[in-house]
Amino acid sequence: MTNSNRALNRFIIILVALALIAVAAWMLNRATGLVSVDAIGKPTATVLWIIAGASLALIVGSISWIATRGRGHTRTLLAANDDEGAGAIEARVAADLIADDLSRVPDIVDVSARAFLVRGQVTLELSVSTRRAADVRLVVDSVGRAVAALDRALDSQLPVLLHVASGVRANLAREQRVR
Amino acid sequence: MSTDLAGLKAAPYRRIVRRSQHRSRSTAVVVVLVVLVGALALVGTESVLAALDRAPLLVSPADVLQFVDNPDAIGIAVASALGVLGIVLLAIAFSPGRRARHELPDDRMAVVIDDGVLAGAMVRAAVRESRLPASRVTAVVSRRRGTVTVVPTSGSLVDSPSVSRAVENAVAALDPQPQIRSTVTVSDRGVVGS
Repeated sequence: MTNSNRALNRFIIILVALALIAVAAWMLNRATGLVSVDAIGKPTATVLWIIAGASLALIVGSISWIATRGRGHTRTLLAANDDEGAGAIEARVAADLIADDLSRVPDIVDVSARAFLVRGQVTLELSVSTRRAADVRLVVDSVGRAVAALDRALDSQLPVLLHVASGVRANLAREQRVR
Repeated sequence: MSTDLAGLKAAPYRRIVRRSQHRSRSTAVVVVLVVLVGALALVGTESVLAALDRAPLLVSPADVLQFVDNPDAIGIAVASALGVLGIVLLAIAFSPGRRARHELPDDRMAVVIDDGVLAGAMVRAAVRESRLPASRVTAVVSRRRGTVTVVPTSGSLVDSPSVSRAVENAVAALDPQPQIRSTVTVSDRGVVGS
């Protein structure tokens, strides 16, 4: 649940794809002579400097784009400021509270929690790995109860995304026979 | 409780669920851009060297343009490869990028569940009803359908309609979105022993 701009991700892939297709089309056209176009010929020094500058700009842009993927995490779940001081609750606290509540549910193998900023609103993402053939209703209801307890502890209701996963760890975990 | 749940359920939850059900394509973009950075570093360096009339590191821009302008057999092969790569990237960009997940309705949380877990829930229901060992029942869930396969014990019958009903009830109780149609297939070859 990062804040990566997905439309721009698509747009970049499309641009690169179109550039590749354009080069391919140019070369194939020159080879077959389908449409007669003039050869590009030898580049002048000016053109070479322009190419070098453009390459540098694109490199800088690409690296900064790569470096900004996967942002949007936040460590602070809640912050409260009043006359007597400031307090903040970290996402870890919520994760520990929830994990503790769920440790006795047999079908749950692992719980992890991360906080994200979604449109300025702190959102808690809970990932729960389950055993094979888990009782999904029980898992969801158990998490619901743990979240209700968290709501009471924090005295506010954060948006919560629950992801029930069938991770590798869940598949490797000792299978619980259900009869 | 300070936040109003009805308002909270609407807009942010729609966005959260939508984003967790689709890939961000960040991996694809990063791979593409890393390759692009490498290629551009070479292009830039060779351009500067050529502009300063120095010897090229690998190949001079003039030679590259000559190769692009007058492609030989190798050139045609290279061009075809680039074209195919471009089409593959277009397919990545335009595909819906759906993850194998369903949404479950819930009053408090946005709940997204892997299709594998949903299949597990169907297996659980079938196992309970048929009283077969869990290893004999498998299930596969796709976006709109779930198929449970039951391998019976040789010589004993599996009550297929009741297993179907149990699976359907289990799915209906979870009410995954988009909805899935479940089917139960009983294998015509049994296995010896329990």
